[in-house]
Amino acid sequence: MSIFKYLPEALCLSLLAYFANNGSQAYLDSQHLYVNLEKLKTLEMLLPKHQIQLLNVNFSDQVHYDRFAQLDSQIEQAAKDLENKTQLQTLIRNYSSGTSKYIQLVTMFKTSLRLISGYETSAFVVTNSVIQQGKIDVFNFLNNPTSRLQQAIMTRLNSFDSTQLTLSELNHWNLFRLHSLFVLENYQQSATQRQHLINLPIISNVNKAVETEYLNITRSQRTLITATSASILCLLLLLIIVLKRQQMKLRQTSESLEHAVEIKSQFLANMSHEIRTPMTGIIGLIELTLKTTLTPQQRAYLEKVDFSANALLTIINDILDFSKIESGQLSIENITFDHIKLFDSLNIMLGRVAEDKAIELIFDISPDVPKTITGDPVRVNQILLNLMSNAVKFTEHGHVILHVNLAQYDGKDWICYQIEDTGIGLSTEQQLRLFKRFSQADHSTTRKYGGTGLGLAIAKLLVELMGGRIWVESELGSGSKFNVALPLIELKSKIEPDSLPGLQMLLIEDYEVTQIVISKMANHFKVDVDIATTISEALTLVEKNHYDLALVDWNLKGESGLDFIVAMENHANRPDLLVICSAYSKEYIENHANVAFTGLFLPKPVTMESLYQILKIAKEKNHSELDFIGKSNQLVKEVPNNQTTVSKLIQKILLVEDNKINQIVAMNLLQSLGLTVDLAENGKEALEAIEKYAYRVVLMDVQMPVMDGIETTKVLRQTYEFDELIIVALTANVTEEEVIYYQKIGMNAHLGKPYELDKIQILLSKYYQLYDDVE
Amino acid sequence: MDKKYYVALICAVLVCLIVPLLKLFDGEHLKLKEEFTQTRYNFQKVYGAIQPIPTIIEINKEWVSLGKAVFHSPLLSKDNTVSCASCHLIDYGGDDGFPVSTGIKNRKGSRNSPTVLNAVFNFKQFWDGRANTLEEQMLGPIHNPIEMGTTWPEIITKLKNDAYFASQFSELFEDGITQKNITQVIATFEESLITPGSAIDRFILGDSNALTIQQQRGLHLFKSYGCTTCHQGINIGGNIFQKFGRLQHVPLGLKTDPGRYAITNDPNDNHVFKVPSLRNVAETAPYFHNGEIATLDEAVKIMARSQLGRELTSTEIEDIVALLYSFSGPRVEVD
Repeated sequence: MSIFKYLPEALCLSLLAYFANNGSQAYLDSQHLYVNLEKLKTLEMLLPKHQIQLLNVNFSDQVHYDRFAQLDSQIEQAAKDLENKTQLQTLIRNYSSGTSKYIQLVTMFKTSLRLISGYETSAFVVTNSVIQQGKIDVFNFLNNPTSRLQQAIMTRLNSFDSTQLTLSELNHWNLFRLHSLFVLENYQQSATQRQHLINLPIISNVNKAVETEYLNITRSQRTLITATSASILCLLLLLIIVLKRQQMKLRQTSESLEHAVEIKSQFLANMSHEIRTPMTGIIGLIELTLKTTLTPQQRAYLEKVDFSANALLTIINDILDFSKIESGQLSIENITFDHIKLFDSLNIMLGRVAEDKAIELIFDISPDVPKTITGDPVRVNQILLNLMSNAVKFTEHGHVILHVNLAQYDGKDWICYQIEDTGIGLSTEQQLRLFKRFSQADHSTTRKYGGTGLGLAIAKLLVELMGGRIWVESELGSGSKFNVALPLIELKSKIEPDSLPGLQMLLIEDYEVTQIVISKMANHFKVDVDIATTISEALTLVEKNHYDLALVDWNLKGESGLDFIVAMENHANRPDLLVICSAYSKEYIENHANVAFTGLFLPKPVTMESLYQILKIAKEKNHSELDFIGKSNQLVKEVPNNQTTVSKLIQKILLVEDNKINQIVAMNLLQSLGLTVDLAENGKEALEAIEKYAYRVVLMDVQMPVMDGIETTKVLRQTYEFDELIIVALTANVTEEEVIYYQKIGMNAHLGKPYELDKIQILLSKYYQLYDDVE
Repeated sequence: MDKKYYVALICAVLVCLIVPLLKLFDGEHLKLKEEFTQTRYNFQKVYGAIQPIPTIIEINKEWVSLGKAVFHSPLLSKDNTVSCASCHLIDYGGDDGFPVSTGIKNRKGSRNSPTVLNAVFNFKQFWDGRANTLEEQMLGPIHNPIEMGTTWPEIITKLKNDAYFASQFSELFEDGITQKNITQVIATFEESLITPGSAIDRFILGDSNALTIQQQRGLHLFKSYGCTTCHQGINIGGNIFQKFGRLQHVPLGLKTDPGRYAITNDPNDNHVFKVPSLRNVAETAPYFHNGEIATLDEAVKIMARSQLGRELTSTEIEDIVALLYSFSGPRVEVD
């Protein structure tokens, strides 16, 4: 396997080696061929010259052969080192030795002929005629070289009787005879040799060899180019292979990472379920325990446990949210929702805490802000809650204001939330770090204030998911302003409350910012406002004017708003309507004050809506016993104006839940809402119970033994219509997909675990008459 | 895909390329054409068979002087006893005056050592013309077991161990002591060994008083009898081959050497030798290929008989021998 893994590289490399080798070989070959070609060209140039010299040898004025010898030497030198030209070399060697022999004969001939032609005859009488005849014979032969004539002359020369000659005449004759015979014997041979040399195809062969060499050079150069480009291609291929391998590796890595992320989010979903289930038990049981009779110490401890458990739940939620956003699993809803309601829920969540810390929580909502907007209410709430609880957390005294305004920017409508606090503030450096995950302004902050450091990171991610912006303006020590701008997708009808002109209102409030905000709101309804900071100031004002309405802050500096109420009890110029305003609940105030009061109660912070309700009541001068909201958790506008007696009808609800602890918690909760709870341990029992009694609502746990909630729902939906039987999923599985799935199989709604009382209350109030006060 | 992979890949590429690269590197010498000073001569042409020896126009003097030193160095022989100059005494006619020379361990050769003077103008070297150039000629005695009997690696090692040669060679050549460089300096030195300005040269160049009357008579005979047919050109010989004993018998002792036949195995080449140069012939006794003939008179007589079929009179021989003395000239001093 591993042998074949690098097969492409090996192939590529062997090809590279092959081509590189070929290329260098071709290069060397062409170099050799060039050298050879040079020699051949030299030969091509020398050989004709040499042949001319060869032909010239015969002439009598060619008296020395230096030129011939030089050419001969050069030709031999050039031919000696020729490569792959054995045939040509042999030919040249033959030619060379042929010329050598030819020239030997020719030189001798020239001597002999010169001697014969100029031979002196006068001194010798006997041989004179023979020599004369011999001369003629030899020249005759040269003109007509036939073998018959040759034989005849030779016979004649040899037959001459030289025995009678004197010694000197004998020498004379012999010299003539020798040279004549030499000429006769060798003439034919030299002519043949000469003809042979001339006929040798040496020059044409050299020409051919030159041509061949040119062709060879062209071929080897072509090979060189081919091999070089092939080598380069191989290298490129190798590069591609390497890159491809990289790519594959990266893809694998990214796949495994994706897989890991999937596993992580699965794990988180599971964990959230696993953690929430026991948390449900813990929080529920704590709440139940808190309702029992306890010693103050026990209560104090348990409240702390409750707080810690809730904090833990928040952290778990944060982490879950964060990982969901990170893995891109969080989808932003786009539904139309009641925007104003958001502030109420913020009020519920933070009002008490702020009041406990003596911080003024103020909602400054611009009147042009629409009542309903399109977006994701849960997430917007989460962002605002996060920012505001931070603001409350880090503010020791002063106020926290939520400004809500509309703005136009970049041709679009934006809804801008600004949370202004008077807390510890942030340095520039801290601001830069702020929105990064697990980062708080200061590490010591963690110890002092707690928290995961995820809140702002989540807020930022959420805002960005919604296409908005989040930023902070702050200075160390002088508070911060957190800004969130979200695109306003749909501009719904604005709140256009009726103006209530003519009303006179007295505002008794010690905090200046609240004074401004409330009076601004009141002015919006065309109500005249007089402001008193202290009770004595208020009393002075009451002396002078008659007010339709007095809005009294319970918690004044060193005084209690109730004192004013008491003072007004029998006052002649008593305002028509007295309203106590606080973030604490009415009961709390009653418990902590020594006096009972019969006025109205308005929860803080004051919103446009709640103020409008109050003003309307004042306008109608309805002084009847109106108990607005018993518990601050209750929303103003949802509460009927008239006190309604909760009908004590038997309101039966079916709880399907297998977990014992959850059973206790849920049953207690539901009973506290005035419901009669029947219990089914699993889906099968639930089906049986529903057969016996037509429940309006079934609270259905999803994960159960015997028959789970999903199965049960499917069976139930075969019999009961969607509106006939309300099935509410009770589950810790709160991912988006699951919620959608539950809806698909016919569940009307879902409630998360741990149980959140207010959510249950809101949901069930659609179907049952519930107790207002569950405490 | 880690470091190891890349290192292995790069190594593999290098390994693949190393053989071709080495090949290319090895073939580099083909391209190199070394700059060296080609010796140039001032050739003068005259009408007639005998041509004058030219003077030197240009020669690499450093190579000549180093070549001279190498020429005289016995390091070129196996047992450091024999140098080139042992057999070619350049101030005594360019040969050693013996019939055959003595090599290492007193071994005797079979042929008379030819003169090194004017050897550059011979068209081939050795009696049988088996070497085409001076450089080629050197290989003969160096490897011949009865002459120097050594090899190039031995010579190179010895020269490298010699401080003078080591420094001189590295000064003149980038690659120091190599076979090519050694042969080149020796050849250049030999190219400087020429003898222009002899009486005959002065005569043919127009100085009619350069030859005595007797010598002029000899020259007439030399030409008319046909000696110049073979003994012509610059070296008065040395530019063609000729058969020994073309017309008449030669003395038996001179007939034992087959000449070129030993090289070509062509029956026509039996007793064929390079026609020897007659330059400085008066100083290069004894004569013929085996040094058998001690005097010029005898040599001239044998030549006239065997090559021309002519019996010379004693006056004719005296005249021709007198002419032969005019062929000697002073050796040029390059420095």
